[in-house]
Amino acid sequence: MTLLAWEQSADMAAQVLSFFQRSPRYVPAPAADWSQQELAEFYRVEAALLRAGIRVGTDRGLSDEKEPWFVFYRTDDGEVVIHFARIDGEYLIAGPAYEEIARGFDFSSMVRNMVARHPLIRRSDRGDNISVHPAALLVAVVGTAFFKSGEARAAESGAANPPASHARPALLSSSSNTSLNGGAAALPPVAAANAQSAAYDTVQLPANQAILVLAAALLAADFKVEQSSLEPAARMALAANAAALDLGGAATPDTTAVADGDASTALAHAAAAVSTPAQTASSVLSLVALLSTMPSTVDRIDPTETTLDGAKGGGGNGGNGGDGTGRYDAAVSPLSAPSVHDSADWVLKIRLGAGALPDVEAVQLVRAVVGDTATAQKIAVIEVSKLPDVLAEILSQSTHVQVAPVGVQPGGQTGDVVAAPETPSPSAGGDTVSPPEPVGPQKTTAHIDFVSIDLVRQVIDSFMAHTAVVSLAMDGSQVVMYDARITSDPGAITHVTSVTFELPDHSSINLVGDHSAFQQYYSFLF
Amino acid sequence: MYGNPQRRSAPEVQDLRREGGRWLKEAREAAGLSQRQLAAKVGADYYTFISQLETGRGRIPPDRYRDWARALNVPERTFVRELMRFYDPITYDILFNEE
Repeated sequence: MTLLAWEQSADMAAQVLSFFQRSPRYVPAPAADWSQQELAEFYRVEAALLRAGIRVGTDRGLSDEKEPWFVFYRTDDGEVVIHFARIDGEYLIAGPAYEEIARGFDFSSMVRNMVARHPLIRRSDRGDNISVHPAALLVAVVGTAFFKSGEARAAESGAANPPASHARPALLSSSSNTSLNGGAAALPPVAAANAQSAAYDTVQLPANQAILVLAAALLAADFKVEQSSLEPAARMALAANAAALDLGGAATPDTTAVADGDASTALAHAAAAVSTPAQTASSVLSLVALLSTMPSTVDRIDPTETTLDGAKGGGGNGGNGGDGTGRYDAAVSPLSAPSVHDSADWVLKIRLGAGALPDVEAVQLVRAVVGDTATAQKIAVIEVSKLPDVLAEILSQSTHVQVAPVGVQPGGQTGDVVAAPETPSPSAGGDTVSPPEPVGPQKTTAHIDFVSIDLVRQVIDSFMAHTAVVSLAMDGSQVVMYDARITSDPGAITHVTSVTFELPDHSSINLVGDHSAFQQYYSFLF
Repeated sequence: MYGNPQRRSAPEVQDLRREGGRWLKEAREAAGLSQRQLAAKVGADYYTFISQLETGRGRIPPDRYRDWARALNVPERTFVRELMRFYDPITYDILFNEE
């Protein structure tokens, strides 16, 4: 599951920009304005942030010594959040979100260092070398500045009086009063109305935009990039998203990716970091990739229809973000993967805790309903941060199936890999583990050492196709997709069945529903 | 960061900031200071910040008002009052625009 996220990172890292660098021995020539390349980098960041719904503006000028500066500011109140300058030939980055001022001749390493010191998501303590796209890092730096400097206020303004045609709330914005800066924030009227039912904020943005920031955060978390284990459809979807961000996807050789793109290294890394927020985020990204390959309905969810309906749940939470009660929701809507499905309509909501560093606490999946047909397949919105007890009990008796780690081949030393009973779609990349000769459904659990991710996907597809309303919950790295009737109308299910796919990174996908939802795979799995 | 939301349109706020920036520039030039010199006097970590302020982007942090007033040879009260006109026009109107 995690590997797909690594691949996303790889895609984003696929194009190397030289960025602006100067030799430390550089002797300042007569001061000059930013070069076209430098300006292009700044505006690239601006464009990416705008696409992410962050209300950013830029301004620039020359000092009385004709030395250039460039600022990003919040368009709602005009406050400058980060200041770049070139003074005496040396670059400078400063902003209220950052305690220190970065100076240096190598802009790329400055940005890299700033991200390392101010990650959006906690970085690994393993001390691994970071090797990611510098443009993504710059986005992370500026995005973090916005995040830390109180994007909440902008969101509140938008939520309180949103223009009818405008529904691009900012990512990671919040009306919470547990912002990173601890500033008290008034409860917007819309949010206040929903305060009883929602204890967190919700924002929505298209998948590519969410992926931008999540990927930037992921990159900031200092995780290695694994390149060789990409599921082709996911590669296409993620590459498309990355390309839309101007951050990657081009054919430029990737010279920044880690040298040891060995799957086992990534897996070991993933396993070691299984409980970290970054790991969870990577699983979320993987889930995006996985879901991008699923069938889609005709209609799209209109992101404008979903309001900023969340709110911090009232008083008593006036802390500075340390109480963990605040939430940021980033919703991915719709999952844009034009090269995979033209009418993709998945919405993935990711709940981030509002502590000093955001934790991914839950994931929600929403799928559009086709018209108002009662029989239309849909996935209902659920809002859970932990599994309902009834689900936990069912899952405790679930059938467990291991999903093959990448690199394990049929008959390999770790056991047989079982593929789908029906031949899966050709896999152009050849990275997905599946045996050349699919094993039939007569295989029983007792004989299954590993199943391929293709099989998992097919079982999920089948489960969804045969379940009227699928709800989704996430508990840590455990993703549960279940028949909504289990919690709403348990008596309607004649035979509750559950299967747990355990992924190599110790995350899991659980399917819970009526036995009929598993149909062709029933005898195969159980 | 000092939040100071004004119930004015963004262009109005920005116009005032620009006006304030011009006033600061005039005061600096009147004091015979370069931007770099002023930055050193007011404890700004980078002198391009002065340039930024003079274009109307951003604000002088309140905890630096006294330093700025001294550096520009402007009485503190006068300096703050003038800044308030640009940074906080609502408060300024209440306090100083007597009918």
